[in-house]
Amino acid sequence: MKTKVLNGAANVGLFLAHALALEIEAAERYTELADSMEAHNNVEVAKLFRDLSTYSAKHVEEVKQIAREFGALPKVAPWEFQWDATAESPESAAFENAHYLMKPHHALKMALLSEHQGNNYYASVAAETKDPEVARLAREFAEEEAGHVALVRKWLERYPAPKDDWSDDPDPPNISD
Amino acid sequence: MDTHLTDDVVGPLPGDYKSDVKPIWCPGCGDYSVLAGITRAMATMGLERKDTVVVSGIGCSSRIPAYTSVYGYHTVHGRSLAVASGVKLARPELNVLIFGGDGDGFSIGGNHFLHACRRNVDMTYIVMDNQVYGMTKGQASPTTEADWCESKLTPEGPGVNPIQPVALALACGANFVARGFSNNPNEVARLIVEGVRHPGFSVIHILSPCVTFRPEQRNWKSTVHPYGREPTDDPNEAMRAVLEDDGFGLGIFLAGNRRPFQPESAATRSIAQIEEGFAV
Repeated sequence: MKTKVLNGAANVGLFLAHALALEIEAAERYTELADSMEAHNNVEVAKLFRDLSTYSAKHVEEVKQIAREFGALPKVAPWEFQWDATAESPESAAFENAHYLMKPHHALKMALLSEHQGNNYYASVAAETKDPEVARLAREFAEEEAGHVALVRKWLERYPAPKDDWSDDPDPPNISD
Repeated sequence: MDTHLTDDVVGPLPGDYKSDVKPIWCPGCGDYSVLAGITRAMATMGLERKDTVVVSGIGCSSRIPAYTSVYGYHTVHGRSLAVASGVKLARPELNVLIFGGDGDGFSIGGNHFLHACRRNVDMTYIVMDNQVYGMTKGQASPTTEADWCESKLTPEGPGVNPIQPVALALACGANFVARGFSNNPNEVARLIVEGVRHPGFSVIHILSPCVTFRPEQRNWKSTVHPYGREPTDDPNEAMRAVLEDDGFGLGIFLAGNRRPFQPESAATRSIAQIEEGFAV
């Protein structure tokens, strides 16, 4: 029996539709997180998310170019995408893990998880598909994602885990006293 | 980066339905994901922006019209359903979606909610429920638990049982009733698409955590569960099932078959005839 991931990569068109959604949603999510951090004056984390968004946007353009050469892609409703373990596309950083006082370390941990999930998705398709063209593209995309994983790991070296009181706010939004 | 990735490969994209205004919700707020679900639903349906109106009341979640690129009407507190009903009855060809929160919808706008369900105008109401008034810094709302003691205004808890939005919608006659969870925007998108396509008044109750004033709601991701039944068109059957639900079941409870309310919109009397009635 085919896995869920393979159902979503049954042919090149379907696979590219998944890849394009994955990359667009990842880039948009980083942008949204950067905007959100800017709105809350967390400038350092905002810049990190903005940089991640820029890298992701480049990959969006690469996948779009391949998709254009392929031709019209099938239209897939959001809830019909065949992601394996995640509710959203695997490279989308989870909104709910954001915090207005989060540090670069937390942002990069979020990014590392997302990039890992993106890499795992493509690697699973490459390993399991019987379609040689899908396998070739999936391998190519997995390599790109592996590069992102390595980049984020390198950035993380600069930002060790902060102290446990990182979320303490001397002027909290809650009026509790 | 331009988030409006207008694409010539797969048609309208969710980004096409976002405005240039950046949301100011707290990072981690569930409303971000609901907005993602909304724009994905709009892109899936390929809604014409010129034919689509979003209406809201007041509150954090009622900021949605600013963040979408369709026509928007940010009305006054609790009055979104009244305004939206007017829009839809005057312009039945428009797609009308209403957004708001639990306070706006079930307290200040509670009366309008009852009668919107009863009247069954063909529009879709998306309520983002975080069981708190977030914009005013964390007071108990109509859906807050009786023993929630974290607000200065209700240090012993509100002491009254919370409203059950899904049961209330069913009791009052809404024609489509569903519940979603913000952590799964793709499922939220599906519910919105189903609600918009279903004739009559659709109520979509979305659990959307307030991470600032109700941080414990981050745990909802381990509390929610599938409703586990196929949607029924029988309101009585749906109500019986909902009364056994714990408030965290996700899915479509009712897809009813009541005829939407849409009076004849053509004028039946001329201005001159109306004026005759006022002649002395």
